[in-house]
Amino acid sequence: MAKSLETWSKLDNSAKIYPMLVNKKSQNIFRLSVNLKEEVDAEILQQALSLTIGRFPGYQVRLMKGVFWYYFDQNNAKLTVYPLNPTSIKKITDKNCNGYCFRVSYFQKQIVCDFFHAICDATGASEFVKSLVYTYLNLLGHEVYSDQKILTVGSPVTTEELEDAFLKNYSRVPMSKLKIKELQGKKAYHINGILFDNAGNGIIHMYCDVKQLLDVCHAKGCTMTEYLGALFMLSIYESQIKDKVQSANDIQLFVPINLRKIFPSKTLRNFSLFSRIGANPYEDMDLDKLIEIMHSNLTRDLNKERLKDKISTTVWAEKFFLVRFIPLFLKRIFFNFSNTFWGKTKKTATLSNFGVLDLPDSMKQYVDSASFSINSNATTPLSLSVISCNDKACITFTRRITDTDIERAFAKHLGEDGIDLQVTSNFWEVDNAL
Amino acid sequence: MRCKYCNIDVACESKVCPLCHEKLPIPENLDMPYQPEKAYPDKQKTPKRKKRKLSVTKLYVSIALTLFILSIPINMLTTPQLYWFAIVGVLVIYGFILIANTILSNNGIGIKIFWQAVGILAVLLTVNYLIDKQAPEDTDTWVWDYGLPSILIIASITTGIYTTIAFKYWSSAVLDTLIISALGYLPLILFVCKVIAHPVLAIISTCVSTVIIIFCCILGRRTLISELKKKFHV
Repeated sequence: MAKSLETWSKLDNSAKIYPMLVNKKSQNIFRLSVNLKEEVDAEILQQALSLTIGRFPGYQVRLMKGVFWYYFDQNNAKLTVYPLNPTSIKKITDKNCNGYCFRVSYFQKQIVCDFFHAICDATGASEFVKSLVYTYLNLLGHEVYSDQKILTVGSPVTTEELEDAFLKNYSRVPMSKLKIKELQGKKAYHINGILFDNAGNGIIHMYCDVKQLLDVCHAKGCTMTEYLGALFMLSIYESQIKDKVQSANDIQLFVPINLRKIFPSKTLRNFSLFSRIGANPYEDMDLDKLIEIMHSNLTRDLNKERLKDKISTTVWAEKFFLVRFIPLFLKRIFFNFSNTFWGKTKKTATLSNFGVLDLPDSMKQYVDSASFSINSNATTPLSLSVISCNDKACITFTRRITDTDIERAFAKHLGEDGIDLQVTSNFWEVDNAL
Repeated sequence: MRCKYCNIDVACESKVCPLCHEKLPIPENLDMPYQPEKAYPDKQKTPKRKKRKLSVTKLYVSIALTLFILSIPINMLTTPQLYWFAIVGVLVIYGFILIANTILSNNGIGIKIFWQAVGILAVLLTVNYLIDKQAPEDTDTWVWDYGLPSILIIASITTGIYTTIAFKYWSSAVLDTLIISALGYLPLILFVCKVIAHPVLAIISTCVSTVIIIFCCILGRRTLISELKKKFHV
């Protein structure tokens, strides 16, 4: 029997944890920006946003507290576009976003969308951003066509877009098959540095030609994620560990895996897991060896059966009766405590490769490039994210520390491999150091 | 502009390299003046250390605590047989609930009224206890007999009226009204347990609660079911 859309929805499996980890200083947010070739018209963008949001009912929500879990309630408040705030990747709160879990801003030629991870992952968000830019260009009078790559305003909303894909791909497994230990991980090396005095992140974008980057990767016989991950670990080693006398823990990279590529799903909510890749700073610090480590770890973690077991483990944890019936305020205390004392100590940095922001050909002439950033916090003060659009790759470093040594080492290696970089920054280190 | 140390092109408005912070060379041989765009908006200058704001709550806590501390020696020096400073203490706590929870917070009507009821009950219990100590033969259990039922009757009626007039918040208020009204049965339970001696107000409280609950269930059955599903989903 057909069902009408409910005015409320449960959070998906991986989203459940994000609101519990929000505190005064940190929140899991990521940013997707599209750099156009002409100045953004704020009024037209506002019109485009008002039209686009109707196509994405999963994002037209307000996060509410229940007795046992958070849930999303329909949000009918006005959705506004804001001028870009200089405090990069500012927290998304009830007050500054009218209750929405995302924010759309503009600055010169950029359309900037910040998303709280509770509503979606980057792939889901990219569909919204593409649709927004498409509607915006249409309203400007440009002749653009969706070419079946855009969820256009007026196209029907499918139940698949709103599903919790974790539940769809979950199967009951015996306790012995649960990957609880793997999800725990080992103690990791922590990036040191002087933290910024004020809120906000230092952001450095490195733009380069995708073809140049891919040529280097092909020459080394690896993928872009493997190459950039290996370079990132090597740069951390060279800038932070190499000259240290004390012994350091393994460098542990967190690499999100988009599960849609392995388990077909059209969900616009979260559907990703992490691969944890560790390298010993005293044995493995050679680029070829690091690429091999990245390759073997990613190949292992992208195995369908293994991922299915991981999905089952996370869903099992959510469905475990003790977890379900603990009141929300106790869950919050527990998750915050365990994240502070165990979770964050097992991660050195995050590397997130979004892949290609695939736009229809008719839109490409109006779009210069895109950028993708994930926010960082005091315990994991550096993140690396990558996106390609219009044959331009954008490598973004987001940091909570003043030092830029790791970024410099990274750029040096890319330069040595023959990749030309164009670098921009928000210079957050100026005036914001302690 | 190119940084010769990092071997990169700086593509945003800057005088220094974003990676090494060395000064960038001024571009030469350009027919047009070179003006790269800003990558991000200018930062708003904020003072390094913000002065702590004196909020209403903090101001209240400071004044109230001072008054309470002062009341102790005054009480001991003037009327040592009656510890009225305890009433000052409870009133201070009630005042805090009034300011922080009822006036300033964004909590729902249910939470506000619940804490108001708890605060007033605490004040009445303290007064009752002190009077009881002073003249045990005159006092009885008047707080339970009259105080608690009156508080609950007022609470139930207030939430009921609010739910009826605040259409915008109907869905969330109806559940609060139901919970507050359910508390209206407490005096009856206390009467059955023989804590309450005079049941008149307990019976009125039960009747008021029953009427409000019936109205909520008839008028807002769908909303109630939906709200219960939302709030209690596991």
